[in-house]
Amino acid sequence: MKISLRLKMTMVLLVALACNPAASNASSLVLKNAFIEYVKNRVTIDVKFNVDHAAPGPHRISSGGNDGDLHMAGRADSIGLPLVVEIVNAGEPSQNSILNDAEQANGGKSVDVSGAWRVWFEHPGGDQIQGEDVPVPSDTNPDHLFELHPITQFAGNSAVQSYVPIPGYQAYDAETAFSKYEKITATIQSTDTSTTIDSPKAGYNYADFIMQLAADPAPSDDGGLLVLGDVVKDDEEMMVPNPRRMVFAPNTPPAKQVAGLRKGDKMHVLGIPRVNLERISAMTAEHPGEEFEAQLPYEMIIVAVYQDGAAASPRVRARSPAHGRSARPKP
Amino acid sequence: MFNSTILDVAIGLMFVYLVLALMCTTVNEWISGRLKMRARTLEEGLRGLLNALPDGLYTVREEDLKDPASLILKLQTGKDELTTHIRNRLAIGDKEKLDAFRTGEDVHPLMGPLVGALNRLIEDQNLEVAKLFPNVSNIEQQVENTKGNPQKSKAMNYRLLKEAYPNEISSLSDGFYSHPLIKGLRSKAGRHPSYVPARTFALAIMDIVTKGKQGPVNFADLLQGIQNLPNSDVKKSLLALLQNTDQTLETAQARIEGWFNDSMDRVSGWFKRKTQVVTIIVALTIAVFTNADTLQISNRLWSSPTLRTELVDKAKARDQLKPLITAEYPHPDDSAAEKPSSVNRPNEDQENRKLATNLPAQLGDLIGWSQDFQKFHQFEQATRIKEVANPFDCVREEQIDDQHCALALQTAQKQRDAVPFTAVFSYAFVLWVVWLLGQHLVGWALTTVAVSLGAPFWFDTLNRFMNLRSSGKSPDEDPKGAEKKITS
Repeated sequence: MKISLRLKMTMVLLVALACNPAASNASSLVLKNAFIEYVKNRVTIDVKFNVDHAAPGPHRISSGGNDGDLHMAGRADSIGLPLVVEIVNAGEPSQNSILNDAEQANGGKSVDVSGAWRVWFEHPGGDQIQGEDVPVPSDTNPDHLFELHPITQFAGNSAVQSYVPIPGYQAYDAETAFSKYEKITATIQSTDTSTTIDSPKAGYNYADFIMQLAADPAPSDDGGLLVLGDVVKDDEEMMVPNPRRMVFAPNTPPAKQVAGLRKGDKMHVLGIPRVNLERISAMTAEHPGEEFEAQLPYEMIIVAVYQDGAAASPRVRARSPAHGRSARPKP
Repeated sequence: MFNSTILDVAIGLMFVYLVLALMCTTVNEWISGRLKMRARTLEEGLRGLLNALPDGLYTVREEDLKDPASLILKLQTGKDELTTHIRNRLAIGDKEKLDAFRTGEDVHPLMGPLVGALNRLIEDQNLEVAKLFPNVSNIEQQVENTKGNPQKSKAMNYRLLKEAYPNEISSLSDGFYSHPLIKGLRSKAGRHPSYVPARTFALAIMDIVTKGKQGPVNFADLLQGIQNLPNSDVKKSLLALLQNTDQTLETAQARIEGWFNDSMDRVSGWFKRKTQVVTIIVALTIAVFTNADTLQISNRLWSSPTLRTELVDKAKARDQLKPLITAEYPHPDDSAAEKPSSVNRPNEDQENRKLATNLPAQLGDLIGWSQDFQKFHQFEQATRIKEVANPFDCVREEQIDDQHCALALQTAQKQRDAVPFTAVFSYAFVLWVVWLLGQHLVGWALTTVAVSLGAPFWFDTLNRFMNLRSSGKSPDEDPKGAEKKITS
């Protein structure tokens, strides 16, 4: 039986008549402002990555955390935070050479890695302050708030072909995932040099949803694409009241596909959330030095495009009016 | 004067109602989800709209005969077991009329007998299904599954009959629910969707009625398709919708969407009424479960200035919460705000979280069962002697002699017999329940009504009362401190 968060909260409220609620599982991340400004409009970054631990093989594929990813934990001087690198669709034959390189690098060797940067409070644990000494991780999935996920290049080998649907994987449906993303609140405070984000644990990595372009794609600082899109369900109803930024890593199949689309077009995609540092930057610019509670801004890294077309059949769609914004919830 | 006790009691009450209403809303939504009330109400609405049969009713109607002439011609020849079987279920006079029918003639006189014969076949529990439908795979297993269940048997006969004559027997609702656009909206196979967008509905209907048309479809094709539908309310409605239009597909689609939306507004009304019933039940359950008696709460607030002040301070603190900040990208279609900016927006979850933090301290003295349980113990003490029901207990009571014990047993038995439920519950418990009802029934009813008004109502009302209260300055309030108040 699936019990919603709100119901759980109500149960807690009822139980709270007898006892105090437990403290939440939160974590604090301090990022340098210069770093935020550098990455905020980039989809990917390039790092020299010390591979301290590489998993012997990819995860199983079913649902939730069994996503077929391969994890590597390590350190990168340019990041200065506990870092995990993840390869999507790691079990696919196209990734074999990367898996071999990862195995070779395991144990502390340094390799050049490029990939989508990702700040997400999925594996919180204490305060993580950028630039402080990063301990050597003890396994492939240490407490970390920063990832390169998914990668686009590893030791000179391109990984862009991994940006395709994960065969057999049951991603979170849009309603479940986005309702969680929308409810995350964080406490944010900036100084002249750094920004602190306190957030409860977040999850729900892979979301399967339909995005409708709210504007034409725009280039990112690293040659990828940034697209403002509405998250829609049932081909019509908007799931999130405002558009969210969708980011497409350079030269990946999703980026190539979205490049040909225009405002109003739709795509059925698989995405993973990350904190939107561009919005964090905008917020702290408006509230300098002030500690404030905010809805955690997020954006979606588009990992794959499903090739099943839109919901309408071509014959009928041909005579339907142009795609427009419409959202009228009905029972 | 007005800002003192009465206002504070009212604010305290509203605060309690707000907390309970938040719980009620959540439980209510969960129940609606579990009972699939949304999907079922939509299904009911669509059934009305498409003139479909209710679930569990397996009958062929005249309007379900899509091509009766073709079916009659097949029955005339009677080349297979099934057609022979249907023929044999016709009266002799009807059979003669059927045999005399020629293409182009009016089929209406034969529709009634034909539908009757088909329905008799569906009703037949002893139908030799395997013989009549030899081409259906796994037929023996299907028959086995329906044995001893007349409803399942009817469902199977109905389905097999429609499969045997797909071009002759098919209703618009069958076509609608099996259309890929609609099937794609289901959460699981076999379930109906819980939401159908107006555009999808219109496109599916237009596609179904123009099914045989090759190439691009125009308004005339659509109109022709509707005219070809069997006579039914749906056909009349669709034809009425397409009258006096500019004869374009876009207008036709917009009219069908409008028709659907109008119906869905009515369905929304049904849904609201259904959820209101659930809301009242949930509100009553919560009121009783938490023993939230409006009269008792008011009384306690009225008689305890400390409790009153504490609760009003909590409500004030809730009212002065800093709103949650969001930084939205403005929609490119919106002309306002050319560049992204931070905006403030109150957040319901934040309110809930803050409310939950000090809930025991806020409500513990106002609601709950602890005092009433003490009363139960008092009842138990008071009725202990009269409750002696077991002779062994009587013997163990040293101060009671045998005669007294016998008398006590007799009296207790008479008293128990006079009070309902004493066979199941203890005498003290029954007395306590009666006392509880007398004490709390009105208060629980008031709480139930209040909680069923919903959290948004109490949220707004509490805010208004807090504003009203703060409009008069408290004598001990620091005027400089007041200026520092955060306003949103």
